Amino acid sequence: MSRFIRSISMFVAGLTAFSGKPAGATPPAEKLALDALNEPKAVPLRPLNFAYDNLFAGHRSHSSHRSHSSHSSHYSGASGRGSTYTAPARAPITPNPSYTPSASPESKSGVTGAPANPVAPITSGQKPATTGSNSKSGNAANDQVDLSRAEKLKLQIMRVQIKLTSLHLYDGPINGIMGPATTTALKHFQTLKSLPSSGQMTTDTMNALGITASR
Amino acid sequence: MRRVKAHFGQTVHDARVWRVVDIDCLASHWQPDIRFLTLATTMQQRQSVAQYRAAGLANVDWIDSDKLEVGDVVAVNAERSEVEVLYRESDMHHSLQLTNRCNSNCLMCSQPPTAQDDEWMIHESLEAIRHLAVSPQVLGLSGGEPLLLGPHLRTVLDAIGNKHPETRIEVLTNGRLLANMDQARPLLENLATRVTWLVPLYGHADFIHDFVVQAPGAFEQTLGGLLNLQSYRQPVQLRIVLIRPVLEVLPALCTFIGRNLPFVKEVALMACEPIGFALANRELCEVDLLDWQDTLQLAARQLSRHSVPFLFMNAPLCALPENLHAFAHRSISDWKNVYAPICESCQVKASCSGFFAWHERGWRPAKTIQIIHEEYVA
Repeated sequence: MSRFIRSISMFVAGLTAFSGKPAGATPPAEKLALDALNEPKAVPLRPLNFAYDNLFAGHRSHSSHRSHSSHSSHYSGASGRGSTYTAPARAPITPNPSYTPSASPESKSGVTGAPANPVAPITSGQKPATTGSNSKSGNAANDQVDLSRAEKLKLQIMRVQIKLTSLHLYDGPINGIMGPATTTALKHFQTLKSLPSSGQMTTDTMNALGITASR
Repeated sequence: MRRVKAHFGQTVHDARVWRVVDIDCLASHWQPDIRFLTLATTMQQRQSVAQYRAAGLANVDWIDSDKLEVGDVVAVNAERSEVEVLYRESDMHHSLQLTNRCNSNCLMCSQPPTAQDDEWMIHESLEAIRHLAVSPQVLGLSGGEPLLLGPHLRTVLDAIGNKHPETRIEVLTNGRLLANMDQARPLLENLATRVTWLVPLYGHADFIHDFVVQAPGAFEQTLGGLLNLQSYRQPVQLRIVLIRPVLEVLPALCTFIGRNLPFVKEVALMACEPIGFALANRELCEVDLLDWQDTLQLAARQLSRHSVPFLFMNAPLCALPENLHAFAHRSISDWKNVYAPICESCQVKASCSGFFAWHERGWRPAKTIQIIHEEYVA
C-alpha cells in the first residue's frame, strides 16, 4: 500500500510524493575541491580532470586519438590564431586542432610578447565574446555536448583567461584566443605552481587552475 | 516566492533572469549564453567583476545580498532594488510559475488568478530553465492554469527535457482543457519528458466539484482530461484539498476514484493553505482536521480497499489519526514552511509538515497543535 512511504522516508526531510533526495544537495565539484584545499586535513582524492577529460592538452596525451592525428586536415599547421577557432559550427569533428592550438598563435604573433599588451581583441571575424555559441547550447550539467570542438576550445580558453585574470596574472581581453599574453600568463602560473612551463592547458595546469575541461 | 532586497551592478537591470555564482567559481562555470551575478560583498570583489567586464565579459555582474545563495536563479526588479528568487538549489521543492491566469475560481485558491495577459512569465520561466546550474530531480510547474499556455506548455516541457533530461516534471493543472483532444494531442503526443500530472478532484458528483471550483461543467471536463491523460499513459496524481464541502463527501469521493479512476498513480489529500481565496471563504475552508478524524479514516480505508496509493500533504502530524501518520509527507514549500513555538519540543517535528507561514495570521489558532511523543516512531 504505502509504496512510496516507508518509515525511513519520514526522516528524509520533505520529499514530495515520489522523489528521491532533494536536488542541489551536493555543491559543485570544483567548489568541493576548493574547500578541500582550504581544509588542511582533507585530501581531494579525485583530480578535477583526468588526462582523458582534457581535449586540449596541447600534447600527445590522447593516445586514443592518435589515429586521427595525421596532419592531412585543412586545419593543419600553424596557420594563424583565427583558424583554430572559427570552424563552422556543424563541421565534422576534426581533432587535429587539439594538437596545435596553444602553439599556433604564439608562433605567429609572438612579437607582441608583453603581457600588458595582448593580442588585439576579437579580430579576424571572431564572434563577440558573449555570443560565442548559439543560445541553444546545452548547460544542464557541466558538459557542453552540443558545442562544436572549436566552441569548446574557445570556452575553455575563456575560462582559463577568467581564472588568470582573477589571479592577477593576466589583464588582457577575455576572448577565447590563446594569444601570447595568455600563453605568457599560463607560463607564469605554471612556474608558480612548479609545473612544466609549457604555456599550454595541460591537465595538471587545468587541475591547478580548478577549471573543468570542456568536454 | 522569496523577494530579496539587494544591491547590484549597473548592468543588472538590462536583463531579467540571472544565475548567482560564487566569484571563485566563475572561471569554471562561465559560459557565453548564461548571465552570471557574482556574490560580491567587498569593493575588491566588485572591482574584479569590473575588470572582467572591461576584458570583454558582458554577461557578468555583481550582486550583494546576504539572503542569496550560490546557484540561485533570480529575476531582477531594478526599480525596487530587489530580486525574486525563482529557483534555489538547496530547496527541497522546486517549482516555476508559468502563468497567473486560470479558468477555474476555486473557493480555496491560494494563488488568486488574474486576467491580464502574462506571457512574459513563460519567457521568464524558459530563461530560468536555461539558467539552472544543476538539474533538479523534480521540477513543479504551476500557475494559474498551465494549460492556458496552449502550445507554449509543450515548449516549456521540451525545454526542460532538453536542458535537464534527468528531471521529472510535475504539472499542477485542473486538466479541463485536456478534455479537448485537439489540445491534448499536440501536448501529449510523443512527449519524451517524464511528466506527472497533478490534477485536483473535489467531488464524485458534478455539482460538488463544480461548486468547489466555481465553474459549471468543470467536473466533466476534468474527467475527460483525466481519461485523455490515461490514453497517453501519463501518470496522474489526484489532489483533494480538504475543505468543508469536500470533507463532507470525502469517503464517497474516494470510492468513486477507486471504482472509476483506478489508473491514477496516487491520491493526495491536502490540508488547505490559509491564504488567498481561502480567507475569503473561511466558513467553507477553515476546518480543524481533528473534527474530521473519522472521515479521514473512512477515506483512507476506501482508497486502501481499492489499492489506490494515497498520502497526506500540508497537514501537521498532530492533525492526523495516528495510524495515518505514515502517509503524511512534508510538502510545504521551503520558503513558506514554519512551525509553532510549541513544536520545538515535539519529537516528530523532523518528519512533520509543519504549517504554512501565514497559518496563525490566517486561521484562528489551531487546537491541533500539540506535542507528540516518540513512542510510535519506530
